[in-house]
Amino acid sequence: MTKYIIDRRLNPKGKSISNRQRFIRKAKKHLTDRVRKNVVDRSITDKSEEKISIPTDGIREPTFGTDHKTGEHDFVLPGNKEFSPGDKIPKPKGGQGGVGAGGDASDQGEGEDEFAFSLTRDEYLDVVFEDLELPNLEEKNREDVTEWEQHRAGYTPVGSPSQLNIERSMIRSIGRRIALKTPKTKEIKRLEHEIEQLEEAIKYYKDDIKAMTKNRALIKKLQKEIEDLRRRHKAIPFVDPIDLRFNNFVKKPKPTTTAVMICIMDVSASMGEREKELSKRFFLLLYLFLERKYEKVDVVFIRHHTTAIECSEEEFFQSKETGGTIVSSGIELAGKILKGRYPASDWNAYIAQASDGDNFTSDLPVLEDVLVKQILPIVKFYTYVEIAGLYEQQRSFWNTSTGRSGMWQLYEGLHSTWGNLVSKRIAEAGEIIPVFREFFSKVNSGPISTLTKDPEKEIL
Amino acid sequence: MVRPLYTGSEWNFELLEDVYNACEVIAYDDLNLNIYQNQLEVISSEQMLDAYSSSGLPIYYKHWSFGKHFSAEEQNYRKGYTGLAYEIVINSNPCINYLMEENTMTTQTTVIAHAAFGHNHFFKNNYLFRQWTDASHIIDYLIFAKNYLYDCEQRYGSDIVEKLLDSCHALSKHGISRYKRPVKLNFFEETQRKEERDEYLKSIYNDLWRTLPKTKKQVEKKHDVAFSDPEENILYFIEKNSPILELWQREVVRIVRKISQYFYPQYQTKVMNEGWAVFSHFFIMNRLYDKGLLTDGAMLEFIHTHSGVLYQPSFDNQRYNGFNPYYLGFEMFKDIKRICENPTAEDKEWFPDFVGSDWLETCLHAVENYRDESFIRQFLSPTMIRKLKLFVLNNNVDKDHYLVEHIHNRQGYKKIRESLASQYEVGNMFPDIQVYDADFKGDRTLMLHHNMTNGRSLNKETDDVLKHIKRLWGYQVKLESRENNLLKKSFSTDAVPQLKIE
Repeated sequence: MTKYIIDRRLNPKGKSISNRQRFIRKAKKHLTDRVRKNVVDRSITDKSEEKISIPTDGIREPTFGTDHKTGEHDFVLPGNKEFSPGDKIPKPKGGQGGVGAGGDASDQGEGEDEFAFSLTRDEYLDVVFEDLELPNLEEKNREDVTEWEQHRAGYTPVGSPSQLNIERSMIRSIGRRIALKTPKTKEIKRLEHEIEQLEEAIKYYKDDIKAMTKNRALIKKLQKEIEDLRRRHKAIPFVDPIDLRFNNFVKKPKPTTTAVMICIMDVSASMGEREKELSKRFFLLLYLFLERKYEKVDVVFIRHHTTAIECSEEEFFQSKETGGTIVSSGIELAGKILKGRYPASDWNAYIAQASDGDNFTSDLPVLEDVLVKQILPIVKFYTYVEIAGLYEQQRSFWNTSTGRSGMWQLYEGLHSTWGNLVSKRIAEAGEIIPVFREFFSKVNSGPISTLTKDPEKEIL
Repeated sequence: MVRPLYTGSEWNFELLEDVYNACEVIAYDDLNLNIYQNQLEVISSEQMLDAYSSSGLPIYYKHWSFGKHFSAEEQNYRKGYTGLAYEIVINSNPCINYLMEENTMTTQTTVIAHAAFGHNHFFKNNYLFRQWTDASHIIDYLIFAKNYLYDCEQRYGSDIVEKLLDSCHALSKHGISRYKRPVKLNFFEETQRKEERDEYLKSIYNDLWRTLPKTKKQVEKKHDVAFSDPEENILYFIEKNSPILELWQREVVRIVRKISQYFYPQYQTKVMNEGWAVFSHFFIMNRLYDKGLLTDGAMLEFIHTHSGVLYQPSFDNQRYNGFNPYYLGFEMFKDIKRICENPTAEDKEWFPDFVGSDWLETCLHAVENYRDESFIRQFLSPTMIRKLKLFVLNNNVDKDHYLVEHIHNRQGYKKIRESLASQYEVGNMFPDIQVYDADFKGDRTLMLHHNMTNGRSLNKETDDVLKHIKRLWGYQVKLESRENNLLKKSFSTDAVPQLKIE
């Protein structure tokens, strides 16, 4: 009997993807809860897959089945070593799952309440950043455009032969020939055949037999007709240059999809491990979010106490400093870096600042000046996170007007004119996600768009 | 001098062809196998995972539960908890065999002998498969089902289709009429049937009829869907009688029912099917070796794989997870061969019918005419019971101990065989639940009866399943567990009618 051997390896993969998406959609509610809880505990640089367990509530597939913990039944097992008929084996304490019927029962332990599976990094971040959007997103064109993208743009009558679109050209060729009533070769063949038949018929008659004159006349007529058709056929070309159509491409400058994110953190003595940890979490989230929106994200770290320096990620989170705080130093440095290395024409700039709110009072006017003149006009979004004290008393104290830090009051005041500056207070890790979502939720991005139309022009 | 078919572990398409041909000679000449045409398809491990999630079927409609199974399988595979199957074989004509690309040449040879000949022969010849499935049309029917559900999603929205399928899946094991011969499936007929019905409905549609007042007779007639006997096929009953389902929804119920029916023979013949496939590959591989077509190394690798597949731990082993169908089935076929060739006095007493007969004929006869339950009841010998050291435990919930009832001795053989056979009886795999009454003229409450045995009640998922039935039925659903006509336990959904699926 014949057989077939087929190589299916090249068939499209991912037949299950749409089923998996359906499943994730189904499990969405639980998934979202778990993921948002989990992202807080997640380590910062972890890029691996995320293992998630969700309650089986919404994704259970119930069927009728027998409860193995009721009634009486016999079952057969292999591997008897010492038992004789009539022996009694005490049941294991804490449920009878141990030696259930054919092992069915033993699987019904803890696995029943949780369903564990892996999310890919993309699926994971999709859930984390669902419904979030970057405000003031703009496509930037570089001045020295070096990258172009080819886009299809219909068809043209002129072009290089390699771009000839045969289908389009032939459609036009056929149309033209129909319009000009080009005789069909089939028609010519039919006439020729007719002549052949007539000639066959008169072959055995002499030329002067009268009965055949009619046929001869007909042959002549047909021959003339064929000649006429042939002439017309020749006169109308099969493909005319006016038929030709070429695929058309236009060059478009590639939009800049680069962003720079500047992390500014106060590392003065008042910032302890807890404060740093919270800031770090916030920075990470912002980084992950930007990374999804832009092809390339540069990160700049600036730490400051009374003076500011640019540093590596490690130093940023680990080094200990002492001393007082002059916030404007950090902001000023950020402005310098932006101007020098990341011109607004090429880069979307984001600044994330974390601090405990302490600042020399005398620095506040300087800070305001730097922000308004150098920073706010050119950055897309400026987030300020103030790490609140650990204790609830302090938080309630903070809610009174005297308790608010000078920084906070300044930023709050600026927010009314500069919509791209937003500030939030965080006291514990659990608050980070809600705060982050508030910053970037689609609804909230409305008022921020009151930002001046063209910030670049104002600077220049 | 015969040269081995291959020497290394790498496979290629020419070698597959050679090996297939060599196996085929043995399968026809020495085993008298009768098979469907084979189609071997080489797939990657990812594709194998895909196939897992849709019960091994090459085409299936879309549903989240397949995605769930896929996610679980993928997790287990990635973490190394489980390996992937070497092969999947589909009961279709031509018979589709999936071979994994990661397999070594020896594994591919084993898989070809196992699936393309063993399983294939079983599918084509076993009476259950012959009665219940139509191998030539299954692929066409699956395409029909997939397209139909896709169209439904487009037309009525995926949410409602998903809910409908959820409810149908909950009842898929109760969608079989065991005592009626099923109608065979056919893609073209199904499509035609659907089109004709649609056409007919369109042709008789006239909005005027709706405005006519109904006579008393008509009203009565509509509700007079009497049924006299309890119906075990719940899905069938719903498809035909549900007061709320629309036409396309009834068709979906039918699709789930029909596909579930396709699987019906498979879980009744797990032991025999696998046993016969292992027996075939073991026979063919040994013959290949005897002919000098396999190297010693290949044979050793085969024995290693073979014994891995056939591992059967004892009940007290941590890895014990019920009987390994590969092992049980293979040992039983081997035992039949032994009884035919070298019977003991005991065998002569137990199996006078076929002692000394031709072993191959006896095995082929068994493959054709038995299912797991009857196969064990007929062929499990005392030798096997002793070899496996089988014993019967009694579990009574009210007692704090298990009772050893029978062990592998003269008094126990028959009882053990009886117990093991009934463990494989399809009636004991799923609870016996039947539609008992539907109050068509009254409040349309659907009454189900559960025939309880030995005080074994339904598990805690029952209420959820009833909710699914209610979604399909629209009105209250009640279930009573009865034993010897005594009411033991009853379940019920709420009584609020829900007039359409939403």
